[in-house]
Amino acid sequence: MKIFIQQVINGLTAGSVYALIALGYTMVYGIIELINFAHGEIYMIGAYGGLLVLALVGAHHTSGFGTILLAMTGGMFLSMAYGLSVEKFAYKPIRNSSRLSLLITALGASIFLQNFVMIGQGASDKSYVSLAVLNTAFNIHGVSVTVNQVLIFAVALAVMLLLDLFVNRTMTGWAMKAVSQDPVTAQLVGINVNTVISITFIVGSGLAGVAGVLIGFYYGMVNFSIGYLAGIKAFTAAVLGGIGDIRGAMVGGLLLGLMESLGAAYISPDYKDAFAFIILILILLIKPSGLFGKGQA
Amino acid sequence: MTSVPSIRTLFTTYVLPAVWTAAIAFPIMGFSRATAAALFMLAGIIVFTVITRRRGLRRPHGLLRARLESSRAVRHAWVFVLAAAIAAPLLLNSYSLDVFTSVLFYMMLALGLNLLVGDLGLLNLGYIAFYGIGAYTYAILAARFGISFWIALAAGGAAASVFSLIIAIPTLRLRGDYLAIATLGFGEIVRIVFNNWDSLTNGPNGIMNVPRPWLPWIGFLSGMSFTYLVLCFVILQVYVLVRIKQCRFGRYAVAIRENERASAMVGINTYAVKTVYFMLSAFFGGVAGVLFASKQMFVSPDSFTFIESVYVLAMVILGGMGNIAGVMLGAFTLVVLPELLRGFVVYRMLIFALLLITMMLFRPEGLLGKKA
Repeated sequence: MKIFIQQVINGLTAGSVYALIALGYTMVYGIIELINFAHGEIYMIGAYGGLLVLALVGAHHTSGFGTILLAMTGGMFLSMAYGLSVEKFAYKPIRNSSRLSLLITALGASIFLQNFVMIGQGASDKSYVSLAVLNTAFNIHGVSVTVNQVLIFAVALAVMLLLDLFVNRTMTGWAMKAVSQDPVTAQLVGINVNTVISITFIVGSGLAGVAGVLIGFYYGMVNFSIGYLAGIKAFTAAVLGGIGDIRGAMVGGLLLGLMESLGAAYISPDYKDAFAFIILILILLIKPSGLFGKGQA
Repeated sequence: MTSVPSIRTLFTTYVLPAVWTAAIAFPIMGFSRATAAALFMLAGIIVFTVITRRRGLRRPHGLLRARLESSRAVRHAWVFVLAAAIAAPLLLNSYSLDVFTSVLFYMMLALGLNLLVGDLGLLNLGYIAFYGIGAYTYAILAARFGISFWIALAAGGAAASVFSLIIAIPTLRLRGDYLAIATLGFGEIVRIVFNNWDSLTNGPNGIMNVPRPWLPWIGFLSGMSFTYLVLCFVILQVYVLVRIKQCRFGRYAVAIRENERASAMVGINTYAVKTVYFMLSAFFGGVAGVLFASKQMFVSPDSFTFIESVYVLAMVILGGMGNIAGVMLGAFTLVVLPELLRGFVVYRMLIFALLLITMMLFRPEGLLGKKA
């Protein structure tokens, strides 16, 4: 039972991060029907952004939550800038081409960003400062929870609530919904579709950036190649929840984290990374529209 | 009808993107590389505007294709290429022979993938898995059980086809980009299995002492004779593919690519056609894998990563989706070019990625254009 609860906690931590990244996939897919392959790289760039801020402010072992907040903000803004650039320079010029062209461009953008960061930051792992505040662990009846895990869960929850408010309660959020339902009519009623698409990319990328910094603190290091696997898993989470559905992506992310963690504990740790892909193929087989999706695939 | 652009247009189209590029590249790349990136962006925009002003964004026909097809030059070109390919192994040194063999392997893969991407318009991002399944089937059968090359060759192709069904059955009913992501997942699962099923695949260490192919009177093939064997397979594959294109079945595929609903309306069983194409494509990948394993005499999971799938896909796109000659040209270019650019090893993948993006922007139909 202890192992089970421990795995649930670990799973929820990983799942919160998947959910944050999945939101970007699902929002972009909802609005321009593109699987944004470069999104995983945007998350990785966020992690590097946080690293740069930490170096800039001279963070050390005893730094507090202010530093963490600063790092998250830095990672978020860097990711937003890169997300916007990918949209403007790579996707916008060919938005009206075939879906195959768009998908291949996204693939190109992903490889480009990965190698761009590798050239700039080197191929080896870079380590995050290990902060004393984050490593404090509570021990409840043999189940250990670190402040870091609580932080990840809390930040993910807060960000998701804000996003939900943004999408459902602001004019911009409504405009996003309108564009995703029918871009032509949205344009007719005076919505600037280009701006809305850019905003979608910016918001989605910002969430991924925050996730990147959180994971940087959690694992203590970053590498230029972390975006690929995280991206694919987050995409799986988005499909699991029903792609295009924001709340679905949140639930999908948490569920995926749980399944992966429990699968690794009870089935086989060697195949941990394969679970996500198996789940992906199973959903596509059984219910391609996902848990909450309405439309046909 | 050329008008002088205003200061504002100049600023927003040229200065702003360049400055923006420098600003976002700086934190990651440092000052000097960020400046270089900005200049590169500026040059890119200038080229882009010049090209789009001149001829609009698209041109309907291939650049070389119109010239090639206007005469009987096509036939002559094929004969010339074939003669060059047959003569090549005799003239090359051992390093160049290796590169040449590698070109042939990638031609087999690119031609196999082209059946899906080019002829049917379906994206397969896990194609390398079939290559891997072929290679591992041969390695296990030959190195463990001593089964002969020719039997194992058939087994490798068959194994790849059978495994392709597992992924084809659930996903071929879905829309294209779901297929892309599902095949990507499949490719990863296969690699993870290679990596972890120690008792069968020896895990990350791979399988060693894989035998070379054996022919009566010649013995074990190596070096030049091996290259000729692969060349024979490429020629055979091209012949089969050309015949498929000409028969009714090949026309079905083109019809499905152009309009799936209309094809279904006129009585084509689109699902069956797609499934058979998928299996055929996997079969070619599996056969190439068997040859690859017997060339290397060693297989390990590292040879079958996602980026390899992308690489093969890029060959199909670069040459021209659906065009057999184009795909072969694409494979040749993408194998030989990196060999020539050895000094730029660090920037190789960056250039490769830019190539993918710019191809989609300017020539989505590929160098030799799309053949309907």
